[in-house]
Amino acid sequence: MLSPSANTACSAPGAVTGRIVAEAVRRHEERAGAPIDEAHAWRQGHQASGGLGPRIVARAVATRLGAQVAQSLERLRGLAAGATLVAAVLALISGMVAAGVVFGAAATEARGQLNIFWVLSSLLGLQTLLLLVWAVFMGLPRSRGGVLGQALIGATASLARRANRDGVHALTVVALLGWLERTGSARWAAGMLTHLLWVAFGVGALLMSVLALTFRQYDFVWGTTLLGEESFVALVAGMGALPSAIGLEVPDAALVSASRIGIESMPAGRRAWSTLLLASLLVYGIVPRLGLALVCRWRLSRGLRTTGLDLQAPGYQRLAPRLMPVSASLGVVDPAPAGVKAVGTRGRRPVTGQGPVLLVWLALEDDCREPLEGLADARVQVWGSVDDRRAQARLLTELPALAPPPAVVVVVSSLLRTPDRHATTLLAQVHSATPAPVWLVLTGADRSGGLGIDPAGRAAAWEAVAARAGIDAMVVETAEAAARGRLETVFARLADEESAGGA
Amino acid sequence: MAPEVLRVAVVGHTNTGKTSLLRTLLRDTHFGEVRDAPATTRHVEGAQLLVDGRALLALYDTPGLEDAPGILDWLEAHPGDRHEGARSLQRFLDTPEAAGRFEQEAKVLRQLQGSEVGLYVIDAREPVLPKYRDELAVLALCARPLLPVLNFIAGPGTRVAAWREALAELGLHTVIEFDSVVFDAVGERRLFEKLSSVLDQWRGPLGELRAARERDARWRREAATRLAADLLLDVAAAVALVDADDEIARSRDEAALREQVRERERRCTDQVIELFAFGGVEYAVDALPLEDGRWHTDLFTPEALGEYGLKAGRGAGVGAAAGLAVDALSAGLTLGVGTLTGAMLGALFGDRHGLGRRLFNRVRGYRELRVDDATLRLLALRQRRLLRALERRGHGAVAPLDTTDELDERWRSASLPRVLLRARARPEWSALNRHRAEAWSAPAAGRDEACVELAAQLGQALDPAGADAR
Repeated sequence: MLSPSANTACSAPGAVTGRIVAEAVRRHEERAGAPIDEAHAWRQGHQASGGLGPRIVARAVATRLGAQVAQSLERLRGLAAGATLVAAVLALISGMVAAGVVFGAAATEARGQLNIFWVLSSLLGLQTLLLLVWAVFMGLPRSRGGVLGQALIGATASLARRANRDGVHALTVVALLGWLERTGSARWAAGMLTHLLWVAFGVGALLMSVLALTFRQYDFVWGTTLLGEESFVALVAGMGALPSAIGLEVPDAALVSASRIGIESMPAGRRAWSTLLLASLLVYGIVPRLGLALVCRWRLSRGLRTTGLDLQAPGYQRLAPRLMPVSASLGVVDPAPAGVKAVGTRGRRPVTGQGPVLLVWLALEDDCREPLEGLADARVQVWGSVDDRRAQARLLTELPALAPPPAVVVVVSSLLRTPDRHATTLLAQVHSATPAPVWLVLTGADRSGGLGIDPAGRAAAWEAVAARAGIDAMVVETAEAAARGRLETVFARLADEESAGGA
Repeated sequence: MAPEVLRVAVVGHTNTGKTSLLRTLLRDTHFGEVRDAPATTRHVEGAQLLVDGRALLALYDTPGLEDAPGILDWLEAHPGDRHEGARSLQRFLDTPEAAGRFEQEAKVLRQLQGSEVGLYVIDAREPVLPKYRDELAVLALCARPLLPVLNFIAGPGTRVAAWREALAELGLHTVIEFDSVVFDAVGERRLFEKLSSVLDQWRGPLGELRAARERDARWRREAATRLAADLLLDVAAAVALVDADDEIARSRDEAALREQVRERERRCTDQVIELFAFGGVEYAVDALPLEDGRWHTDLFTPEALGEYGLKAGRGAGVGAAAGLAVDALSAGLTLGVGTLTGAMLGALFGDRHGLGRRLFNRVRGYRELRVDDATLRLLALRQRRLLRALERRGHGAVAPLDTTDELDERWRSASLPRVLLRARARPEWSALNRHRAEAWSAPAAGRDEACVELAAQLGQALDPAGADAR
């Protein structure tokens, strides 16, 4: 009875079991601090279709622990069924004892006279009162759904835990109780058990009553000190309405009047009275409880079936990336070229020309250009930017034709740029277009930190480019000012050489 | 025939972070190779974005464009018919040059042609150079919609405005700002939104993808706040019995309790980080308010309290160590009246051994040692801060701690949530009270619900809706 999977056999078999297994595995993993690492289980979970929930269940069920929990659930179901059976038998016996006491007392103390309302209130009064209490408590948000049922669940759980204190069974019980709690099914499970036990009690009472009424003879009487006779007539008519509606013979007004204590009883009335008594036990005792038990069972199974796993639980969320990855690689769809294409450069000895130093710049920030423009004088010819294709084309056409050829071609660029193949090609072309040495000056290293760029890495990349393009010298300047200062000393040195050569 | 999966080519100049962008979108830190160097990726590699196991979108990482001006030169040198547009590109792709000098570029162009849309990744720290215009001109020949993505926008010295202007001049008005290194969930959502704005027929799958991403983020946040709530419940319900007269034993017990709480916070922090690290977003170590998984300041120091604008609790005033409070015989003095009633009720109705045992212990000269309110507040604030840093809301990594946060303020000074006060009276709720490795016992009634309730309060308004400026 505790185990709900029997109830859900009609829908997805094992779905509820699966979720409880997943809960048990989660609790175990949360306590252990790390997920169970079983490749087979991960695979099962990963391959399961659907959302995260089904994948978690598939994985949990596939773990060794999960299999043990499922087995344990099966055992627990047997245990619960046994416990429920024992409790029901006890309740049945209690019902028989209760009825036996009532009828026995009437037989011995009242010489076969049976106070009909006394009997009814003895057998139905308490449980009707408790039913009302139950109904009131079910209206409260935190109700637990029946003391008897709760006690039975608690007893079964503690029995199961006691059987194996540290092991899987205890874990299973915890997971199951937790699951009942979470799905809001605990109250319905407890309610169902409570009602079932009362049904057993009612059946016991009914059986004993039938037995007593079959083999003993009672005179049905009633009496009152306070109330009038018409109240009793109305009461009996009311109570008899349902039984008579299904065709049973119940006492009529005349019979009720005739049965009052002190009046000679009518033997013919015994049958009608006992029918009313038995019918009342059935209609007001057993049937409502049975009906409520069925309602509880329906709510229980619905709750268990419709509630999914608590996917936001940390123990489940940490499985998500492995069970339901958000991406899958397609691999390389177009392989890399075999090697870096060589740039066509020709080896040559640079010859310092008689002309001025030619200053060009490539891919510089705007604010770096002006100071370079300020360097223009008799020894320095500022060519300007070669960023766009037109300027590049012009440089490459006019450079070979320069007469006299420049002393040095200085290309200024920035460490903040990533060197690319186009820059490499351009540098190589510049190199081919002039006999003069081609120098590469890289500025901007001082700004690299703020932009999160590693200057050493960039310098190495430029180094490689310079080597491939045949550049004669590469200079990395940490500051623009230093670059300019360096350029000026370079120009001065060149001028000295020039004058020395001229002398 | 329309393809089933939207194909997106990620293109751009070399070293602009194309592979990083893919890694972030894929939540896969092992995709491709990332280096601050040119031409790190020289092949085309693909990966799919999945929702519940279904592929909705395929992303293709391409080599960097390095020589777009060279292609334009070639096209000018080999003019075909006028107005031939995309056909001139085809002519180029069929030549030996496309297999030789321009092999890398040809791969990019073919991939873009074979995709429905291209994401043109821009390093927003770069000036708008003519070569980038050349690249856009070459890519335009593929006749595919192109969405510029401004990358590396989180740091200083970016030129977002200049780029937007230049792109607008080229007719590219839908521009995405998305930093592939400093992850921002809002930015990612916008990326998908903008994709669907140019690809109307793919609106469905893109919306699904966006919704799934948001759901995942929500779930992860919920799980993280539950971990924090679990920590707070454990600490709030933790109680140690101390002998009021034996000073040595008392200070030893105090030290033990403090160490337990520190350890518990560390475990929670580890688990929260694990939750996010598995999310596949890489975190720079300095982005988190931790060092090697530890907070800079010890939990039980006035500095730690001061850092979050808290004052030491009154527990210290009655002789307990910082961060702890002794529940004296005049019960409730240190814990506040609210706790007192909660504790009494809890003891009467909830905790089975409650009141009797307490009174007994008090009579025998024992006192209950608990973690004080100020420390609970500190724990809550620290976890909130960690979560904010992990979620990168408003670029938590670079922005200083916002001490004016309204909800933090609530944790700082308003009364503690009722559920925490309830936990005070529920020693069975705290894992710290289990001194030995106990067997599985029945789940402590109401704890799971309390945890969910507290988590909701911890997670409240971590992302004020629409609070970001972009």
